[in-house]
Amino acid sequence: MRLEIQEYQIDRIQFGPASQLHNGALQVNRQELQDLLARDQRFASVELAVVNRGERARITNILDILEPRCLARGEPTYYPGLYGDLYRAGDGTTIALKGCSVLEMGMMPGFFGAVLDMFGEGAQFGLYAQNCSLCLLTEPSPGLSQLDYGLALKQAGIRASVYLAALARKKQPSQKEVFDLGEAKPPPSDLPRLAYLYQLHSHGDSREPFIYGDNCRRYYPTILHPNEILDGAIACGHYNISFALKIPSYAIVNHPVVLDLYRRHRQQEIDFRGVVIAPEPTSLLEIRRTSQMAAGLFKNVLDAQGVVISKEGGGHTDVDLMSNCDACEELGIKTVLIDNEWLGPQGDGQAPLLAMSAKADAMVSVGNSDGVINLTAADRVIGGEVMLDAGEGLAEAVTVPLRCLANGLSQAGLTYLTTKER
Amino acid sequence: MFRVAHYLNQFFGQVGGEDQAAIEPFMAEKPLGPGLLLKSLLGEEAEVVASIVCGDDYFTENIELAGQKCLEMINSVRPDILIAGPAFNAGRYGLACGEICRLAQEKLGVVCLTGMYPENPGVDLYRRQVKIVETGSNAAGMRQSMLQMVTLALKLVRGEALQSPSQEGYLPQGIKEAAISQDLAATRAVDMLLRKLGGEPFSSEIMAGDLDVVEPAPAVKDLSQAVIALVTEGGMFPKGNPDRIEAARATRFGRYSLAGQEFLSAQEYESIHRGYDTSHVNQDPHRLLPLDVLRDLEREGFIKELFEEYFATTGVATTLDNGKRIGEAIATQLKEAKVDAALVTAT
Repeated sequence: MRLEIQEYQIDRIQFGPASQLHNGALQVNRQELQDLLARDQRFASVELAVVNRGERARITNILDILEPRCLARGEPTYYPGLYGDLYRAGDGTTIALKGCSVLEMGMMPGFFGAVLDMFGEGAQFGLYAQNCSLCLLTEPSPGLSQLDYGLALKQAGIRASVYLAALARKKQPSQKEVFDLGEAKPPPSDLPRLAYLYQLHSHGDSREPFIYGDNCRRYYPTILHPNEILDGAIACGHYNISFALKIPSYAIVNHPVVLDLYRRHRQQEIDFRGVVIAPEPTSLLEIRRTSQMAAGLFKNVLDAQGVVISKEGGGHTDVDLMSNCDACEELGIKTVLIDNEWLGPQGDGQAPLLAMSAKADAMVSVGNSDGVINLTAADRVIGGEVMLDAGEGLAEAVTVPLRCLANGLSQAGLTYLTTKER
Repeated sequence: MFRVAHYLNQFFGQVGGEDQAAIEPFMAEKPLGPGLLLKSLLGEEAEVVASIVCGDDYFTENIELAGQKCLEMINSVRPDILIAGPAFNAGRYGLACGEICRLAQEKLGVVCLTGMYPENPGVDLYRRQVKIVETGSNAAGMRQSMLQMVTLALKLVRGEALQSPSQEGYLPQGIKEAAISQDLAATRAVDMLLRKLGGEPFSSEIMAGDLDVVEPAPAVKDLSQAVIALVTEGGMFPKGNPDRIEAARATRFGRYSLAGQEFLSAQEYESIHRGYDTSHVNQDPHRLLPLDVLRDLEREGFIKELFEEYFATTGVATTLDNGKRIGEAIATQLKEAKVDAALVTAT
């Protein structure tokens, strides 16, 4: 399987008479794209806004972040099974606009948005503050359900992403990256054989990602080629959970664990054996069954010696994380777990996780989900000054929970935020 | 030059042994006992301006008064740093060192540091508020302990960033604060995995908390003689949530009448829980609180009686302390109401 990502570095995004990409400047015909998105009857309205890096801007009520992408050839499309026709992701050529984000935005009771500060304290942990953003400010039609609003948002996000990325067709990319596990010479046999167990939330509608367009809860653990993950086989489908407790679409196609393992594989530091995706069921028996099956794939099919495991979701899925850890370690596969902690606003909580296995001796912390951060006043707010879980008056200096930051905790590990003992 | 005050007990302050443990605090404007070692380790950067000495019994038996007297003496010499002890494994001395550090830190804003053996009772009482350098159990390690205290105190007074407690040699304070790492979390995870596979040392960034193990109570012998209560953490309250219980991170619970009710109507009850998809239980509250079935069982005589109130809270991201407190309070109230068993539905 060979994936070529053609990267186009975006320096600036602006509205203008014609949608086009020229020398890193992305110009968007506001009316044209707005009309394209507003055609969906599930929206009462769609407005667009652009935000560039370096602005003292605060973006609120962000529901997902996408990297503009589309296939390099054929009908412009991406996210197979979810947006366009079903095809196999991870093989062929894909256009990606780097340094650029499309933000799905909106409010509905029960939907948890995120705050993205482009400046100051809130900009320092992650990567999104360095990107130029196209904001899709949407309002649902009256009476629309959570599920339908979420689906409409997802399709709008992908439609706008594909629209932008298609502007790069026939242009010269700034860089090309080829993903081909077999391309490297056969790895020396003494390299550590590593793999990744990618737990995906599966707690019902609006609380699980889509895999080739279908809800994650309908899957058993299965092997995906890493290229499929880096090329749109999975998209974020969460809307009614804190931003920090889900993996946004941007972080899936730029999955830092997959990319890190790939890099080390190319450098012949390790032998990257592959990825198993696994759902996070809601009952203990299902959790045990899922763990047993996932661990079996690592042991008997992928022949892995060590596995990184990450989770999505809140405290409940610590149980899945620990069960997966136990199942792998029992088969002699070493594990490292990535998780967020629950330590209270002061960081003095006595139980960081909901469940803890004695075998979980190697864990990486992506931050305290109960922690808070003080944000200074912004010059410009896009998305409204009120947000669930963050409060009101969001243009001013405010204290918000870290779990509301788009740029804070990342269960995929796409963050520099962590905790330090004192 | 930084000014250092040094707190000592009667023994290390060279007054005497146990027979002198009741002496009241006094101050000498010079180093005493291990203060001489402290002076030599401080070098050119800081000087010992006073030693405050108090008997262990006097301090622990008059903790407020002794603390106040010592604090006044400390304040009178305007120190930048207070070094207390080290107390090693001496219990009363440890308490005094912890308390005086806590006071001086809080009231005077002075950099405070003490040293104790991990099993010293002063550790449990004060480690959250006060930095305590880990020492051996007795004065044999005085030089090493004092050196660590001096090194750390100077770092603190200079305002330098600290490494982890284990690297700096002090006992963890049970607080984890936000930090920015050099590497992405994903990269740290793969690095850690390679070290673990290679048998090299690594340190986990998350340690197990103090999780309780709760033994289930013995089974009810005869349900037909038992009063049963309904309890849920699923956030089902009378519509409007009259007690304003939090939708997440609950700090309290409510108790609501079921008297004379056969059914729970979706018009009158609603779950506001933020940790699961509540649409199913909001369609039919019995999916969370099976009042209908319990009324049947009551009529059939399978149970003696359903208790006339139910208890509800939201169990999501609740801190361990609050969870324990809520659980104990519900259990106490059930006991007082002579309830024999509770059906606890969880989500």
